[in-house]
Amino acid sequence: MEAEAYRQAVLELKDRVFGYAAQLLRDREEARDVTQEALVRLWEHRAAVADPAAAKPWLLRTAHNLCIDRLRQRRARGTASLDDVAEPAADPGWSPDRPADARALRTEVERALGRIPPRDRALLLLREVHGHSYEELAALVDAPIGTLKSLLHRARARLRREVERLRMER
Amino acid sequence: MTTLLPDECRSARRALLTRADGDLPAAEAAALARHLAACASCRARAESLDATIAALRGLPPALPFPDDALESVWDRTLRAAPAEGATVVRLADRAVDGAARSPRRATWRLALAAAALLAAVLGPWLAFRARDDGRFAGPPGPQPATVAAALTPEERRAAAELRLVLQLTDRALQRSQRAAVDGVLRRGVDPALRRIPLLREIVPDRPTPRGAAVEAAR
Repeated sequence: MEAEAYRQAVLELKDRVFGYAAQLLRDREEARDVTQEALVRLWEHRAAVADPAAAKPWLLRTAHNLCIDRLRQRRARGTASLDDVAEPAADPGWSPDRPADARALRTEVERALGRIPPRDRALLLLREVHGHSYEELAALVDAPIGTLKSLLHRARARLRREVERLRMER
Repeated sequence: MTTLLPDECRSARRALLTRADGDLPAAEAAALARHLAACASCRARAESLDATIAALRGLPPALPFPDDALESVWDRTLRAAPAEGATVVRLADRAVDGAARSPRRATWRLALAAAALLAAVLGPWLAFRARDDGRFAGPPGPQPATVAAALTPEERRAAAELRLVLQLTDRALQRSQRAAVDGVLRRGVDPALRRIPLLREIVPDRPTPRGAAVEAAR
């Protein structure tokens, strides 16, 4: 990948990588560090990522792995809960035209995402928010597609359950 | 209509999750629809799941990456690349060393180095400056006072590199001139002065550079 192709790839993908990292880590400062690191690594491995079209899956996979490392470090330190961080991942002003009830549900879903295990969260984000195919996800988590679908079913069920719990707590 | 039993509720709830994947077979979808029409509990669950997934799919996939964080990425990648800047510095250093070692070759070596340095710096810089990416659009011929303020970080870096090249080239030329004068003094003036008895004692011994020693040995 040439320098100009790298520059274009970064400009095109930086917000998406940052969005994924922020939603998965539930911490924008850490997401910023992870995104920077992933973008720098793309430059360092530009010879291996010769095709600019391969930059997107490469970057998301790298960011995903960096996020998982961060989550493991958090767990090892025991300084923060993995699954219940209050900060909403999404920008509150991103879609002001939606009806109030839809906004409330979205807020609940964002909070519920923070209460399910990180692997479930990653799978749901990659599949439902970032639109990755089953094949891409299977490669990412290194699991057969059948196993992946089971994991996704469980993740959806957990998310729905957490949304219901949040409603009960209101 | 067939009324499903609680076991079938469990099957229906699995079917709901499969439906979320979008690959529930038509026959199972029809059976699920029949069950939902008859079972309020499963219907409520289906509505809850569908709404949750719809809200999830409505989350933004991207968030604006902070500008200062992006600048840091450029600093660690494109700006730190061993391209123009580092090449320029290496060429300049080589020219300085060469001039000191071999005064005779200093002229063409410096000319070659200077040409390479200017090409290495000015070529990419001018190409970069001329690229139409919108950031450089504007009226031609800006006033000198506004040029510095209008430069992008990349342009300021290129300008700094150019200044460094010129400083190093100037150093090389000074060393070359000094070496050439030393050679003339050593080979022509000093021997003549040593023939004069009064001056023999005060004529300094000049260090012989490696190139001159080789020539003397011939």
